[in-house]
Amino acid sequence: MSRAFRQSMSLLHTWAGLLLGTVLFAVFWMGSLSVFDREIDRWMMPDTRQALPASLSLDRSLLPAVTPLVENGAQQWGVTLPDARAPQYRLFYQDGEGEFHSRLVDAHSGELLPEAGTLAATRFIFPFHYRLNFSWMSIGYWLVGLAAMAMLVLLVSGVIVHRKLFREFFLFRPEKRFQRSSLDLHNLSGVLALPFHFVITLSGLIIFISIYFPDAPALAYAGEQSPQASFFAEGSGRYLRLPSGVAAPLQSLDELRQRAEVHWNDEVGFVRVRNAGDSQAVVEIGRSVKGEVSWNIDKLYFDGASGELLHEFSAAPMMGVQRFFVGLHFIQFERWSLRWLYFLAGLAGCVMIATGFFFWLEARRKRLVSSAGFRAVEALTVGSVSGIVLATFSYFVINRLLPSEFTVFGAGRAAVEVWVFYLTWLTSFVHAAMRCYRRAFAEQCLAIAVTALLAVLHNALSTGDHLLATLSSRQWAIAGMDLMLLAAAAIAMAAARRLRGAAVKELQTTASLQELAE
Amino acid sequence: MPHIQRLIAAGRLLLHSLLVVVGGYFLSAALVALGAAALTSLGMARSEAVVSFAMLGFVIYLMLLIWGFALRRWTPLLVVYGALPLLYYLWQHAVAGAAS
Repeated sequence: MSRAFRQSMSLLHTWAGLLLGTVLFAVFWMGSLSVFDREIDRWMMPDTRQALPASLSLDRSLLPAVTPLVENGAQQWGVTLPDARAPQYRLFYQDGEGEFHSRLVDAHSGELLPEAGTLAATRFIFPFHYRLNFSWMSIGYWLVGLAAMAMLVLLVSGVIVHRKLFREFFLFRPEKRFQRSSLDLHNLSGVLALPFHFVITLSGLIIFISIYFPDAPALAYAGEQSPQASFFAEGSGRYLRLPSGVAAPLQSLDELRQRAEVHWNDEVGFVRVRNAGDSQAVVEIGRSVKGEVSWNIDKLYFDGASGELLHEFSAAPMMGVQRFFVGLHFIQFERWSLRWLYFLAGLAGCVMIATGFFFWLEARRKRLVSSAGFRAVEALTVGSVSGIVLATFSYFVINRLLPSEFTVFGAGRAAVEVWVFYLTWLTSFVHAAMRCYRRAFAEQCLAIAVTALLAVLHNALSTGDHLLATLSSRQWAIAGMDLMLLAAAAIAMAAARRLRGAAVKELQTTASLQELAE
Repeated sequence: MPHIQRLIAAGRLLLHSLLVVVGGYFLSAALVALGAAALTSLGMARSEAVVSFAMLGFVIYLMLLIWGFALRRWTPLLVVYGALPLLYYLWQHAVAGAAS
């Protein structure tokens, strides 16, 4: 490899990392949390901390909640069936005005649960991971897409830049200077989890082929009125028919579900009814995605009135490859050990991005320390790394502090939680800009530790589910969340102590240098 | 005038980056659509052809990014990342205009 090529890759690595590091850290952090999104949901929505019922009857435990909605004009509805991680039906329906709603249904009693008053993980942390919850003109998607492409470029250029890759494979010298040890840690986390980072980033992009390459079907489907819609219908399956306007009762959903289970020799994952209440109703039954890596889109369509099988869909081979990438990324198949590995590898990504920032700063500190640009990168680093962690933990605390029916200025608790997240994150940047770098870091780490402890405390106070209770009653989701928060508090506390020591030393050196100069 | 020289250098770097990132994306998108059409004409089901090339698109874009940033000469840069995607979209526009 030529020197010039290596040099241009080095420049590319530095700039792409600097410009997109903030977005990348946010995406990796929120993505790591999303691995346990259902568990965070249970923690943030105490009403949903239920056991899964021993047997499930759609006719008896779901239809009582859905029938009144259909009578009130809902034309379309669907549910994801409960499982051990999410023990309620997740119901969505389109009301008479065409507006979509999403609710949880108690799988024991068949009653609609009250609004949770929180977006929790599945509706805030998870979407933040892929679109930064910035929906205007889909800019969030494109920013994350750009950051993901930058991540791929960073991984490739990083391998090229680090010539002595294998010698540095397992090198970590925590006792050396901060600059050296942060580079070691950057290489260690980067190389160790390199295959994971590459595959998780690529598969994340592949999930959204129709967003990132919307015009891919333009030529293959030339002549169609809407190439995208035709491609979607052919590739992902769709069976539609017009309603007749004649009312008719629905076949037993339990019976259709059982027929589908026999057909696939697998569980059912979701049920959707189109033209609800009509004699032309179509019941769409989707296969569960928990059995294998690939996120299948196998579907059976039944006539709602007669129960006749209308249409069967299964993805073609290349679409199956795309579904494999999707499943690999979403990890909804049931493997707990693997879920923890995803979590740890995701956090290793956070460490890699953070130490990349640290190394950039330490390598330039002597030369650039007084420049405004350098100060800006320092503040950017602190806000991007400790700031978003602090904001996330504050989001947890405010959830356990306020009751679910809390309102202020007409906004519910769900909105307040989101405000708290963004306000804390913004403040962390301002704080970092005002304080000296190490001190800002130390103070934010301390704040992280305190917030994490507060979250655990308020969970115990507001629900009575403290660690002893949850561990002895085997509520792993709640106990796991509390334990992770405690672990985070311990790590943040240790970091704060080390950073404070370093900050004091830094001040002393500066002072003695000034004395010498005088 | 070192000040102006630095400004020119920064401008060139910015232009280079924009050309590679934006031009590279549009070139990848064009290659995805063309590749899918080519596979379709070879007899693959059209939805399968589109999925195949849409997935490959990210790898194509990655290679275009790496190559484009390493490229030092302006002629291939302007031709590959500027003229080619522009030609494709002009052609697409003309075809769509003729069809409607």
